[in-house]
Amino acid sequence: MAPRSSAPLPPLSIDPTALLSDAISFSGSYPVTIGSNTVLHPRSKFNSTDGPIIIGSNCIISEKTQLIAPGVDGLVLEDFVLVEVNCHIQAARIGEGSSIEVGVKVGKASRIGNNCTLSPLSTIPDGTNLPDFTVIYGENDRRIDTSDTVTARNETLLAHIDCLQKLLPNKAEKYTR
Amino acid sequence: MDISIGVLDCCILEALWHSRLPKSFNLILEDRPQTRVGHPTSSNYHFTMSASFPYIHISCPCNEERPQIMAVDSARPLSPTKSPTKRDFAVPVPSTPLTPVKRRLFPGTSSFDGTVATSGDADGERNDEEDDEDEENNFDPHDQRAAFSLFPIENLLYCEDCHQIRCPRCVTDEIVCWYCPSCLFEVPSSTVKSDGNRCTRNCYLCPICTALLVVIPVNHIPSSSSAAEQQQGPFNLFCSHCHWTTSDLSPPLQLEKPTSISAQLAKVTPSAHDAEFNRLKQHYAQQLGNAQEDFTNSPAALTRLMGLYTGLGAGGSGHAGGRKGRGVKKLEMKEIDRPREVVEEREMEIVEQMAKLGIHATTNTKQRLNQPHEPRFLSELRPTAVLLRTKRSKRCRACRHILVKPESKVQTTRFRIRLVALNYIPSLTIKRLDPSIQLSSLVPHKTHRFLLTVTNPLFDPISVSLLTPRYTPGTDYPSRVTILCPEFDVGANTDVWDDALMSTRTPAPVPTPPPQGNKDPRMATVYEQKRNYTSVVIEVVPAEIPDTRVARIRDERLLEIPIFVRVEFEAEVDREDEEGGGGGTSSTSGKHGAPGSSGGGGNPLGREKVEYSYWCVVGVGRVGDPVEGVVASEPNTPVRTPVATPVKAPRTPGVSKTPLRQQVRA
Repeated sequence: MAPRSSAPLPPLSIDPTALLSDAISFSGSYPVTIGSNTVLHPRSKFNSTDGPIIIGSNCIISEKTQLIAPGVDGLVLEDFVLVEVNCHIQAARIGEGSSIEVGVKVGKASRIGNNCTLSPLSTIPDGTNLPDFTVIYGENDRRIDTSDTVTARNETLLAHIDCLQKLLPNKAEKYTR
Repeated sequence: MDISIGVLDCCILEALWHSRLPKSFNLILEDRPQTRVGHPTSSNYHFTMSASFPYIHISCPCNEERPQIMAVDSARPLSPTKSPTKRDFAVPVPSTPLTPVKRRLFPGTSSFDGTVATSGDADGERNDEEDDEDEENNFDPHDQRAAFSLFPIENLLYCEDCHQIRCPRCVTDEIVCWYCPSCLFEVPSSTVKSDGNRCTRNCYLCPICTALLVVIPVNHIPSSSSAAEQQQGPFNLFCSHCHWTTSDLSPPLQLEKPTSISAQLAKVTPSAHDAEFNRLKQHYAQQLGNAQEDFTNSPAALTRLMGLYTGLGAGGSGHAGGRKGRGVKKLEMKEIDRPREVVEEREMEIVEQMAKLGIHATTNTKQRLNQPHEPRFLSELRPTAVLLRTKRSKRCRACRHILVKPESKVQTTRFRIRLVALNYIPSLTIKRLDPSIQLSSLVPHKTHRFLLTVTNPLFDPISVSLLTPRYTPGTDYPSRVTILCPEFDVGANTDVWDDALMSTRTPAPVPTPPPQGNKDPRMATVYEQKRNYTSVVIEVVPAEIPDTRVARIRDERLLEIPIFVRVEFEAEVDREDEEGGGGGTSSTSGKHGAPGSSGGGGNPLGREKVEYSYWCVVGVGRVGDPVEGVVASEPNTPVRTPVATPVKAPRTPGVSKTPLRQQVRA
């Protein structure tokens, strides 16, 4: 399914090494930047109506996930961010090496630190500032991750991206006019 | 936090902090109606029930028939080879209920024969007075005892030998095997006895969030390195959910090998509690050994054993001046009598630590209860081994036949035997005819129409009678209930394709026979009839009920309708099997007639008329506040009835304790 020709795409700047699958929906008028080696799954949604969206390198954005820029300052996803299926993200910033797991809702203009983990179905209220290495688990409980597994996780993420690049057909040219 | 906070305050603070109700609590409550087991009072389930309307629960015969079950049980040794058949149940049991419950006092509890039911049909024109009197026999869903026998049909089993519904209370469990849910290894029962009910292999749970722990090397090894390098320790147990590791403990706990974790953990984490436990265990083992050797000839041993618990043993004898003649070794633990000492320094240490680390470093109730020694700080938590699970087979309590038997192999989820009630008794479902009805707040005095669907799981067409008291029993505010078509047929549960194929070849056979001519026109008011289900309309006019939830335990506003379901069908029955059981007793129940031995020999398959019945309770909803403009009126005016003229539900038969099967030679 091609993106609707009726609605014009926002200005996109896509790194040539990024992998964009079919049927990604871009809406809004602010620019969307996608970094190198990043994988966008089909049916992920990017809404840049209120501000720009900047996605770093080596990220994965999964299906049915919505990234909505909360304001003019935009939504910034730093490098090595894994966003799983069905998330709803309106954060201002998501730090490096964070993983946002299935069905997480990140409230408006919240800032997630580096190397955070939001476990499935957790909710982050609007305007929250999460310090680095925070783990949200269980009933929105928090703890600080001291496991020192960042490098290992980034390595797995790279392997994940590697695998996806082999499996997913790249339709990036559809979005680059 | 101030350092001057006392221990008590800390505990309170802690409790407050951790007492936030988990989010899933509501979800658990919503799930509860499905498992109605073990609610001590009906009020309990009424409260939890309100989450999901409508629901239908079926009453297990154990609610009424306990004396019968006992009769069968006692009869069992007399004829161990034969299984009790329906005739054992048809034997008229003098109605002497174990507990005097009002509705058990049936006027006539002789064997149920068709005449009672038909008489109910015949005098359909009864007046209200008689109906009131009739309520004595009705199943009262508000009865506290009723709560114990009401189950959703999914929870019920069916005993093919007793021809009875069996609820979880009517079955005995037997453990087929123990296994670890995470590694799926079967654990022999001897190991369970010696090593306890936890996995002794490598399965451990995170003490923080109860997810499964994995073994990872402490120092990150790049994946490019060789396998030998990756096998080098030390290792951590790591929770991939909350990223807890055993290095977070104080002192950090690191393993040398990635395998045989249990052994390593046992070595690394000895604690004072463990030592105490081991001492106690040794002590009792010794006591037991001593007791066994002198049990035979000394009553003193018995006294001593009793004394172990009452404090009159050797520990007590020390300060009681000593009883003479006790030639028993003094092995008792002296510590048992002593009050537990509280070391002030240690407590102060705890307070200081709390002040320093803050509330986030303390354990919450769940975490603490999961641990053997109730640790106070997160750093004291230890990985917990996975609890084993069991596979169980279930037997009928009355006839000892197996109702459920899972495959003993752990990896398979199949069952060898699984006699679930869903495959034997027709299931009822109810839904709103008018989607605007708010089930959680039904409007008093308004006629609510619901569609009651009876689905037939059997391969024979059945005829169903639904009987309900005209007014809901057991409450001071009875609501009016009318089933517009209480008698109807439900088609056989044939193959879905049968109908389609049949229709191409022979269009004639209709799945359900048309209403017989001699029946009255109420038969025509079936709302919908498909392959194996039939829907009829049920009208409910809730009464105006004050909200008593605050004042009383039970929720008067909860509208539960008891419905008596009677099912009749003709089934092919293996005659050999049937005759084997009850040839002798057949004369006692008159209706059965003489099942001639001539017919039984040559023709193994005979047709017999089967009839059974059960009570079920339909929780339609909760009555809301009265709405202005809706006033009490005579319900069931034909104008508002969409299908046909309504009819009154016939009287509930006087006998609800029916033998489950009636046999008539076809």
